[in-house]
Amino acid sequence: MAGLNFAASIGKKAKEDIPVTNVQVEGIVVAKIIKHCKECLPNFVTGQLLGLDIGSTLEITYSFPFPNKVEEAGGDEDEDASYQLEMMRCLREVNVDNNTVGWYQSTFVGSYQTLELVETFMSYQESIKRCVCIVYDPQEAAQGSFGLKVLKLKEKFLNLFKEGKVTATTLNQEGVTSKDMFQELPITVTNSSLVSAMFNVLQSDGQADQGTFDRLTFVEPDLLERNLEFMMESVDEYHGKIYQVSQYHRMSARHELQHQQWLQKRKQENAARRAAGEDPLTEEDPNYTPLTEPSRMESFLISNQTTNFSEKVVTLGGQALQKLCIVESLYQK
Amino acid sequence: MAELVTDTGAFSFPCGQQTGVKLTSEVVIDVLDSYVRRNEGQERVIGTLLGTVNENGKVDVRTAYAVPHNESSEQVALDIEFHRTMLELHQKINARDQIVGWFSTGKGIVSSDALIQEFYGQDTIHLIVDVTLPLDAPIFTAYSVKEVNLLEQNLALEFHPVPVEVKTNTTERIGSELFQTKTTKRLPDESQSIQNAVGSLSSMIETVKTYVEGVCQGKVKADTTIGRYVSDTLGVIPSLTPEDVNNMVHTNAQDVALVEYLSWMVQTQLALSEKLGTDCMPIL
Repeated sequence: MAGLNFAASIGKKAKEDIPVTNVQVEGIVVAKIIKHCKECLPNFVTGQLLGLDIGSTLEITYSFPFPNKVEEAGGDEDEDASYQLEMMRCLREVNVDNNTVGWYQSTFVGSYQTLELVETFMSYQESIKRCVCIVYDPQEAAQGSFGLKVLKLKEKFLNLFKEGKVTATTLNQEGVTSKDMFQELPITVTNSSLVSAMFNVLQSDGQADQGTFDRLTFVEPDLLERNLEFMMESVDEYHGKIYQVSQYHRMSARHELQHQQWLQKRKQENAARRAAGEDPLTEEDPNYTPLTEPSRMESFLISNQTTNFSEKVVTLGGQALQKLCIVESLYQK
Repeated sequence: MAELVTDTGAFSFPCGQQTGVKLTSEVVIDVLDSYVRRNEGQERVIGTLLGTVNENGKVDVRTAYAVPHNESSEQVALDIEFHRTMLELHQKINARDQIVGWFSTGKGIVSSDALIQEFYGQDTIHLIVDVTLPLDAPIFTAYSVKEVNLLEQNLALEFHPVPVEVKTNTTERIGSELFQTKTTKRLPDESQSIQNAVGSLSSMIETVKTYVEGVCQGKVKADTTIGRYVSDTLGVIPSLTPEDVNNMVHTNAQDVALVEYLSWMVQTQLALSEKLGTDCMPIL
């Protein structure tokens, strides 16, 4: 008996500690997400992901969209919550897995790294141990790539954020750089046999599909330009943040100096008073409050974002060069 | 874009207001998925179709959801509450979606279908999806309904077939293989995707070339439409001198190289500033 309990407890502990390394998405989820995001362009939309959590694989088996948040105050929270509950209840009746494993959102040219994303992760983390976020970029998909990315917050960063210790000192100590915030997980797409059989029948004619032509389209530098623009903007923002940090340091240095001077004076006064036999005054300055260090969260996010943009620019540039080579070789014949 | 038109027989004139049905691949997947998830002992799945109807009578089905039901030889019971709740929830997402019909998996029309049709309304279509393997045509059959009256008395409902079209653009764009295989590990890499695209393009050109050669040698019967397509396509290729092409390619390549250099620089700068910038000395 004791052996059984021991084994069971070991098993339970191991499950919670295994990090998610693989994400299995069903074809239906992919289709639904794409449909929802495309339908609601140019608005950005979100939705819920349902599925199963097994070992180191997270299986996403269903998804449903959230209604658009209208900018009206009051009653919104309740409406959203009731929508979610109703939907989950109905889905349970049709045998859909009733287990939330994350959410999805659409984004514009890869600019998804905001504070809200991190905060949403945190709020989900409170109820679900392991959750992921799927980010879909319709612009990228229009250029022929997959467009879906699965993100997860890294453990270290998560713990730091929870404790609110996102300052430069702690980050340097723990060795957390901006690249250590999010982790992109590899996606595997699965389908039931029926779906794959059906699509084999439906799509058997075309060797030619729109995807191929999209990938080979040459003359649209749109995506490249936009990525570049966004990269420039985030560099500017980064500048701004750095300026803030240096301001903070300067002001805080001056502040400290003033405080020290004041303290000196007080000490002298107290010494004089003690010599004269009077009570010493307090050594605390009621006016002194240390300045708060600006949080490094924003600058982290911005630098991560910028890195993403520049990597994207590099990839797109590489693709453009490939296409140029093809054109050149075609005309040389 | 695959088109599956059903056997409509001799009478394909439209009855009722519906002239045709258009399905997207998401609807197809939804229906199949709800069939796979059905309860044990349930033979078929019934559900609602949401979408819009345009002025020509073409029904555009955009969403589908399964509705739990109980079926026996005498009666059919549909969970109406469920249907209404889901309808409300879906309309919150997209207010334009209306009930345009209902679907069932299976082979043909069952007598109880008339009752279900009454519930859904007489101007809605009935879509039957044949999910038994092997999937031989016709897989999708749609019917629009007309009342058969005799002296103002409602006798029966007549089901008239309506052509069905399945548009698989969206799923094809992502990559048809994704939905055709059971598992796809590791999605195609960005750099690989161009190579694959060029590969498939060149195989397509090969096919056309063999066909044209066959026609020229008289082995294959010539089809004028295909011939016209081919000549049109060839006409679209711009005729440029090699110097023009060289210039164009080189200037473009230089631009791209410049942009790449710039972005590498940005990345390096960021990495440096993080490594070197400490609390006391933020640089940039």
